[in-house]
Parts: sequence; structure tokens; C-alpha cells
Amino acid sequence: MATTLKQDIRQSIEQYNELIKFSYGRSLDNAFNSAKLKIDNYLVCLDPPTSTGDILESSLVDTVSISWLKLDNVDSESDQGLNKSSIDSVEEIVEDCRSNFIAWLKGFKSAYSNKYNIGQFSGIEAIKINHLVSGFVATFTVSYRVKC
Amino acid sequence: MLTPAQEILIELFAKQLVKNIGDAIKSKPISRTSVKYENGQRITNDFTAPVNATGKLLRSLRFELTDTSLIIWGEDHAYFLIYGRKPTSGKGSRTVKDEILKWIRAKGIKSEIEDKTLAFLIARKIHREGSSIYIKHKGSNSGLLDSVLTKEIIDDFNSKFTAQLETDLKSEFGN
Repeated sequence: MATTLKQDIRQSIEQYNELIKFSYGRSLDNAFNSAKLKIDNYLVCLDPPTSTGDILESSLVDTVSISWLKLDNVDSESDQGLNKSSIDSVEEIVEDCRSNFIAWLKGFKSAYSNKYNIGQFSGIEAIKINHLVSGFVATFTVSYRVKC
Repeated sequence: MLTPAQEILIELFAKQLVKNIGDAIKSKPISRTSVKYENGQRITNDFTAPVNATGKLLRSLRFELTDTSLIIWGEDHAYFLIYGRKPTSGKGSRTVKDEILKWIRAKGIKSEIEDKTLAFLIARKIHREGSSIYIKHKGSNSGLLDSVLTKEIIDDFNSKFTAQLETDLKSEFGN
């Protein structure tokens, strides 16, 4: 059965790293609450939910945003003293998320080269969002390989 | 509903705005005019100085993001730092004297006169003449926050934010 772009991205991200908590179609607050992040987890949010509730796949080109995020402070449930030393600096977290995103994107391009053309990505650093996470927000275009 | 990427963009924009406002309060020189009386003559003196003194306004700055708006919050008296405090009629407010006392102590102002008496005298001067910002700008904008929300800052935010919306807009109005 044919899979959608959203399904392909989700599956690819979850396979890339088992420490990833994936979110789609939720606000940031709901994503945080649902993910229950620990310090070694990544929260990856896929955009955009539209009025129809899905990534647009009616056009030949979609614009996809992925927010790759990590806790930038100790989480409340774990031992604060122990985990505080494990928390990287914000700069390290941003670079770590950026590197992971790039590595994932490279793998996704390769695995789905017959199905999608992936454009260049652009990104911004996300620092201390909601007093909870930092990371990297990237946007790239995806077009579908037209079968002749 | 805003997407996570849109929320992140707006939060980063809001933080930059709050920082810009804080920087303006801390260090932007605002032109003002002081007034004194010597031998019955009213003497004015133009000067420039940042408005920050006790840091109370700086500490009060925060932002709030709702589904439909971004609100920047701060202490009420920010108004008087932009437009000045005009002369008052009637009895005036004790609050002004109390705030000036805090300002005197925060600025480390030394005088032969006791702090409370000095605060009273300054408050009375403001009551009669208005604040130095008001005397200079006559109730017009002192320019304190002019550089906070420039066209460049708005354009930069718009270009990042509307890129996120582009796909949604296409779906609403048709390709």
C-alpha cells in the first residue's frame, strides 16, 4: 500500500534513533506533555498541520518544517544533581540537534531517492523555548518524482 | 492552531523584542531638560541620559503568546519614560515621591539634604513642572522605543514566519 509523505518521514525519523519522541499535529505544549522528555531524548515535531489536518500532498511540492529539540535543563523527575552534569550547554544542544537533523535528512534522501526530490534546507537555532528545550528548526521542500 | 515551528519562531521574535526593549531602557540616551530657579530666574539645561534607574521596569518585562496575539508586558510607568510625566493639578500622588526615593537610593545620589526631603522636593518640582522628559518633549514620544520594532526586524520575522504559512495559504486559496 502506498505511504504518504508524513508516514514516510515519521517512519524514517523513528527508525533513525530510538531516543526520538515524534510529534505531529500537536501544539508545542501538548507535544511536551505527551513526550515526557528525559535528558537523552530528542523531541522531533513535524509541521505543518493544515486545515485538513495533514501535510499537503495535492501539489507537486510540499514545504516541510522539522523542529529537532532537546531538554536544556534537568527534568523534574530525575535526580537533579546527577543529571545536571549530563546536560550539555545550549550551544552544544543546538549543534547536536542540527547535526542529527542533517544526518537524518541525508539518510531520508538516500532511502527515498526513487520517490522524492529533497530541496536544500534552511534552519534557525531555537534557544530556550518554553523554558524547556533548545534545538534546531529546519525547513526544506519535497517534490514528488513524477512517474512517466 | 500554530504549528510548533511557528510557535518557536514567534517565541524567538518575542525574546528579541523584550531584549531590545531592555537594552533601550538600560542604555539608550534620551534627551531631556532640567529646570532650576536661581535668583527668581528659571534656568533650563538640556542633557541626555538613559532612563534606567532601579531596574524595576527591566525586571517586569515579559511576553505572552496567545492563539491570536503576542503581548509584551511591563510596569505601567514605562508610559512616563516614553511620554514624560506632565505637571499635575490637585494634590498629586504619594506614589511619585516614594518612587523618587527609590530612584535616589538606586542612583546613589548624595546630597546635604536627607533622602526623604530631597525626594519630596523633586516630587514637588515634577508636580509643578513635569518630568525632565516631559519638559523636553512636551508630551510627545521621547523615542525610547523607536529602534525596538524597526522595519528590518519586522521584515526579518515576516520572511521567516510567512514561509511557514505559505503552504497553508496555498491550500486555502487554491494553487
